[in-house]
Amino acid sequence: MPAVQETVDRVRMIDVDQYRYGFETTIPVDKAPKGLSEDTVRFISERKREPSWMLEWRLDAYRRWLTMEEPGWARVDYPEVDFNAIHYYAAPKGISGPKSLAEVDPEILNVYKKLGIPLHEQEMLAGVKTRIAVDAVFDSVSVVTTFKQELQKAGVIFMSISEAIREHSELIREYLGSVVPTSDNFYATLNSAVFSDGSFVYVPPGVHCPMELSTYFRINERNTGQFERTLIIADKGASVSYLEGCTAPRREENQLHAAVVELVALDDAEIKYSTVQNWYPGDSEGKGGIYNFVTKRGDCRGARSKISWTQVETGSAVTWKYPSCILRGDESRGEFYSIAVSNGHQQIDSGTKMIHLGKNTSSRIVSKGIAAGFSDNTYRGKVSAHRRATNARNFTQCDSLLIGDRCGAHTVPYIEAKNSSAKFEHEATTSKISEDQLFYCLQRGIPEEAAVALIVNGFVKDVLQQLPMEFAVEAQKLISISLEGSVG
Amino acid sequence: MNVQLSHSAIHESLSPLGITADELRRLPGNRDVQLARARLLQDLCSRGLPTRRLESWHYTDLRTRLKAPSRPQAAEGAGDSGSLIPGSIVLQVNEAGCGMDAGIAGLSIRNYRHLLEDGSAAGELVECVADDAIGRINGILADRGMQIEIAGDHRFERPIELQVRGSSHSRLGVVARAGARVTVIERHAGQAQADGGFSTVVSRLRVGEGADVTWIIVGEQQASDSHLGQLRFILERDAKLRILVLNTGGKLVRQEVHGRQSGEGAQLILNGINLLRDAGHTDLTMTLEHEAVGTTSAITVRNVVFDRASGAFQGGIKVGQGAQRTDARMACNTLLLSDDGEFSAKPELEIFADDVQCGHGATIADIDDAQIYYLMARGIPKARARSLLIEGILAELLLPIGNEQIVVALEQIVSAWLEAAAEVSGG
Repeated sequence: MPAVQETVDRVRMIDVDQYRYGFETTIPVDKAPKGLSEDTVRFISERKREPSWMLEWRLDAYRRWLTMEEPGWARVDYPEVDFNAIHYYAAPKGISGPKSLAEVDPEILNVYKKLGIPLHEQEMLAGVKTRIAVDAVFDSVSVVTTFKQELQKAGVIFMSISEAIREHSELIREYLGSVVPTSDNFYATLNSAVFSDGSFVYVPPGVHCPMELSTYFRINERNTGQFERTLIIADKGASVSYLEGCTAPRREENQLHAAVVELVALDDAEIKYSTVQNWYPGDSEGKGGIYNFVTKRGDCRGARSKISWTQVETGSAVTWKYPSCILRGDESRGEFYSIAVSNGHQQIDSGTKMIHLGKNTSSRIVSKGIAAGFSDNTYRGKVSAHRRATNARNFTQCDSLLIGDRCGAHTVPYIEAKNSSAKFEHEATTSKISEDQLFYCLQRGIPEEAAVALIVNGFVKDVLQQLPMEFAVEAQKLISISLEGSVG
Repeated sequence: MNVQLSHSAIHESLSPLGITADELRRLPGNRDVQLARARLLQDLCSRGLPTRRLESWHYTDLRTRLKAPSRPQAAEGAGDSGSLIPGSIVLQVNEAGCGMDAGIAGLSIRNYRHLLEDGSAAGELVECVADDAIGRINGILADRGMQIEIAGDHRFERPIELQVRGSSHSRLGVVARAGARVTVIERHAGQAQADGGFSTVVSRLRVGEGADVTWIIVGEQQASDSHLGQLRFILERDAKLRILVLNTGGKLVRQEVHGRQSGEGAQLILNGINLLRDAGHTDLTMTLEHEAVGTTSAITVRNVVFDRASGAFQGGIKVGQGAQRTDARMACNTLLLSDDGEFSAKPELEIFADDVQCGHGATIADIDDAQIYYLMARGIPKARARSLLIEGILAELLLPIGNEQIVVALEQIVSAWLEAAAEVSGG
């Protein structure tokens, strides 16, 4: 008997290429010529009307990049990237920086509407009462930043990094590259040379940012790379919660996203950084998708400072990403909560580094990896205690779940202690969804796919709880979408 | 020697190994073996000794650490250090290949030197993968060893003790045929040599269907010795293997264990004890491949670090696509007892099958003060309390050996070491 229509529809609905954000928008654009040279760097810097010191900084990074080799240690496999086949700058015509909503091309506003991102200040995320300030980055430029005035009243600076370079050069010169130096690694150095847009946040001493801040990244143009650069500074006693989201159109060719995010927390400051990464993952044959090569690092520079990373990774064809904390200040604390779901032919190599340098520092890592389809999902993490980092504490828990026997789950932890007062604990498990749990759900009339989603949600609950509420709802949906069709 | 290599390149590659080209030429082996050695030397020249950049050597930079002294003229002393437990079958691995017990039923022994001389060792000598520096170095230098076969269904009550002494480079091979049962003690003892000794041992073990092998490696190097050891094993259907590695230090010690569980239902227990003191560096690196259905492994490594010693454990478990119902556990627990010491652990899992149970854990910490206080409150001096707690943690790993005499002998080695370490570091 052939499959009933309902089954056919259902299978179709859950196919990997049912990526919901894969639509394309045609907008006239201003692009840099293809290829990478000093002229490309000058082009970007000129378009962004940057001061000369910034251009020199970029050129210095570019020259350094020419001497570097692409890292090969990650457990990912992709054809060589042709760095001369990419446009390093693409902006909707007539936009070189954020404008008021009335001035933005309605086509662009439509894109954000389709994605469900509130750009009108009176709008709110469905069913959620809190207000969120949004910086919307479209290809290489920020098109709109909301709630700027209201944030200014509290003394909080929230704007695109391009604007900040012009308007707050003293802060940029002090902090840009101070966490991820221009020479850090191949992709961070490339980013330093050609970064396009991203957000800048400065929260002054003692201020608790009055609302959630967020940046939404959209890649739209063909054959372009997006080089996001974000810098967040929480001054003494300040606190801020920041969310980041991203999507891209469905295309056959791969596109590169090489970002650098730097966080600086001074004495008693707290930064919470959450990401829902949903770049286009490629189709069911593994064709297309975003290469997501990202350097994210937080510096707990001050005493008693705290940085917390939460990430939900469901997108991208290849992910190479290790949001880390340098625990420099005494009694500082770092946290990393991650759910990484890979499906289709996706490859994820992600994890964190907790580098304990100050006294009485502590860190916590909770990572849940779920591999399905033909995907490979690797957790790679490092925890180290310097000789002077007395009483360093770490607890790591990384669990993997496999769905099907064509995928792989891997764990590569590096644990390094250089003084006897350090206390490190690491545990990891790998298993498949328990038959008992599944049977229990089926027996109570829960369909198989819903049951798998339920069990997986239970498995990743620790991480979802760390997300701001409005994102937790979204993430829960993402998890169930990505895993649908993995059973049966 | 291969003509493509310049004299200076050869000299540069051989000098960290403490051997000259002339001495190398005089090592036993027919033309095939000499060609095999030349090939390995060529590999060594082009790759150099491994550095931290090579992932499997991430914590032991052999290029900076290995500086072997010149080869001693008198290659070895004749003295017998006695066996670990009385009644063992003692086989001394020396140049002459003498001291081999012949005429024991179920046991056949071949002198590896003969295999070098007639060329039959040439093939296996060159078998080494890219990052197998120990296999390569040992292949260039090996001049002694033995190959042992335990006949099918033969059960040895007496352990076989293989004694490897001083600066030497040995190849050992053991095949336990189906249903055999045996305990092998691979015992490395350094020899007091003013500028330290350098030794390598590569052992290969095949455990046949339903066979049951206990393999104990006891490394008792002198403080100035460098030692590189490697055990490669393969387990057939329903084979059982218990491995214990006990390292008591040395200037540079790296013991590798690489295994494949290729037969259904094979079982492995691997316990490791690394005792580190002075300025020594000890590295235990293992990889295990679960290839067949329903295999199990339990790996526990415990480390004790005093003084300025440094150590590393790298463990890798790979579960292949066909290895459903694997149960693999790996734990690495380190007692870091000195602020000048350091320890690094990298317990890796690589899983390609979905119906498996795999877990790993790693901890690094000092001894719990509350436990010491508990013992001190009962009148036990602090130093003794610490030793008791450490001994307790380590003794657990000796239990799977089963043979009580061996367990007691190993416990004595551990206690003596702890006593000496506590004295020097002032308790």
